[in-house]
Amino acid sequence: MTGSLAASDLSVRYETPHGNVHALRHVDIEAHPGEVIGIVGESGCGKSTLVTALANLLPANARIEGSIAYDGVDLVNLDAHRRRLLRGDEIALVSQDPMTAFNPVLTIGDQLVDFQHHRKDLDRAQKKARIAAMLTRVGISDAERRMRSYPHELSGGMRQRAAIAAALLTDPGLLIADEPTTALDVTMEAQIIHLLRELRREYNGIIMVVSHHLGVIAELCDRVYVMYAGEVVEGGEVDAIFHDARHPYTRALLACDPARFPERLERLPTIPGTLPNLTDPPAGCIYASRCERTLAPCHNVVPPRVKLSASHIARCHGVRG
Amino acid sequence: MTPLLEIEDLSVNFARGGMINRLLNPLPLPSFNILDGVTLSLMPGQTIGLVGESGSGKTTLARTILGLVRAAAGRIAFEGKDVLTGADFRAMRRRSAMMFQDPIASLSPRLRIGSLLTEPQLIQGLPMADRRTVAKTLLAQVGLPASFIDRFPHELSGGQARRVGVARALAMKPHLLLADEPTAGLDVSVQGDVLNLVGELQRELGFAAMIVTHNLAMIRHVSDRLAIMYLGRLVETGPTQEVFAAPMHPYTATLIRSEPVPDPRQRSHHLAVTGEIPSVFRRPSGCEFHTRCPLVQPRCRLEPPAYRRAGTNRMVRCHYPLETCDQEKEAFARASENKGN
Repeated sequence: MTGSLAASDLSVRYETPHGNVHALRHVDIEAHPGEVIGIVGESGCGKSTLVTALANLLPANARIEGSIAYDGVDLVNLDAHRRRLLRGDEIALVSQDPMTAFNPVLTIGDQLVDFQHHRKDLDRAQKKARIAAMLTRVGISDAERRMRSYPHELSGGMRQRAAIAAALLTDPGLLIADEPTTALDVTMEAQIIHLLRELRREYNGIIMVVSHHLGVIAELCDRVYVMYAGEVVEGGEVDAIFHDARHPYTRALLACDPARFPERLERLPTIPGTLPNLTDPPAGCIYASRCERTLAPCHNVVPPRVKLSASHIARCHGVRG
Repeated sequence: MTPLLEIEDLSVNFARGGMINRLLNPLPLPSFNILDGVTLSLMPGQTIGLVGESGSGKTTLARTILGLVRAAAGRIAFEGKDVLTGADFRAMRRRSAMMFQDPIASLSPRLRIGSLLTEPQLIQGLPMADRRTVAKTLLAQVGLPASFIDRFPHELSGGQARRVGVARALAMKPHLLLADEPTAGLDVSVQGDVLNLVGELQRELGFAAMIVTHNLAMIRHVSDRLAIMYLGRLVETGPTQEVFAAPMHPYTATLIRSEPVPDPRQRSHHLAVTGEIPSVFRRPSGCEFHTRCPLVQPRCRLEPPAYRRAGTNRMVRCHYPLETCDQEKEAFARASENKGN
């Protein structure tokens, strides 16, 4: 399908002096234009590795297996030159800290002109006009003045809006927002969520939201993939994930969120145990060591991908389709 | 019962401009009100949550209480005695402890955990029979293995470093614990761990706690009282459950409504608040929240509201406090419609 993204059997390992770190193992995800896809998981679950793999930004010690097909093109086997053309043109990334996304010694306006370098058909004045329109669109008032500002002169929320504007100026088919609200206050977070929700109505590419915050995912996404220790353990429609979660990890993660309990709890729920060592991942299910309901095969047989409905899958020995 | 900590009309001013500016400029530089008229008390064993956006002065308040920032006016009393001089603050710091925001950065990278845990006792000149035994007892108290005594801070995970932070804060058996964003940067499955630990130790040792945070979902489970700050002033205080059930200040209501709900069936479709927190260098006239308040009236722009009692144990700084939840919801709905959505 045009503009679709599909990663199949994607594995990434980092070669380090202490052995190979298997950061991503056999990940299958797909996304179609017009969809908002959520990737949720805690630190060390591989969401950043997945994002960098999709954006072709993996470091030199990364070894990648499997395939990432975007718009019918296999990104894994693409030569460096064509990959570079794709990144920043078709694939745009909004990162967690917008301060590091911008160059501190250039004005916002100059940087946003550079972001449009692939638009050879426009001259500088036309590019500036597009920038002014886009900044207004993302809710920055007084766009002309803001274009002459340096990144440090903008507040955190304003910088994140400018970063979203920068990403959209490239007309990407895939917009990846990596923890877009983590660095912001709750009132700014609500505003950025509101903005992303408005933008999706006009934008017909794929939006991928990566976050550890269940609230952000629930507010924004159509479909969600839950990751744990480098694997996608469950995926499905947002309603299925939040109301009919089947994988024990998804359930435990949801149960830990204090925002789900309006009454005061004496003890906050937690997930006992620690992440497995990814230099030597366990033979069976990756979550077995912390799981509350392990079965006989969990410790030595890799769990199957169980299809629970057309879109809902879970990787667990304990669920039946 | 005398409160453990009493703060009355506390103000803190910072002069704007760096040292060079001060040396070059013969005239006194204008100073800016960072904290203004903060009045707060904390009973022994109680937990108070200090909530607000960045720039609201939460951390400055915690630092002023410990004497790390000098107050321009106001009174701080600890265990019934006024804290005035540097010596008073030192005596107070002996019975109070701070957990800093970044757990790894607050541990010296060159010291082993054992030395880090016994440093407070050395500084306060307390006799210790055996440093290693003391450190091991503290580690056991926070549920870490004794072998951690010889580790360096960089060998710990975020959650473990927090536990060491808790152990070190409690080393002096404080009567007051100040925790600055104790769960920032922690995963939800680990954040509960740290808070449960602090709660257990609090029940066991009976210290009072002040938790500085912007995480509303967390603070509603771990605090008895809430104090909401905006631009260096308290705008509302009251028992946590009551404040969440019926916020009186429109700012409190907006904070609660802005929190994303982890349920796709309850998506909120209008925006609770627009705009950003103004700078303390340019305080708005009248009520400082009027620039963002959906319920703003002409009077709010001119006249600053007093901080007054509302009900038995609540205080609010607003000319027109909210009476019912519906009133606030309707106003927010109207305000977002007027914006043309």
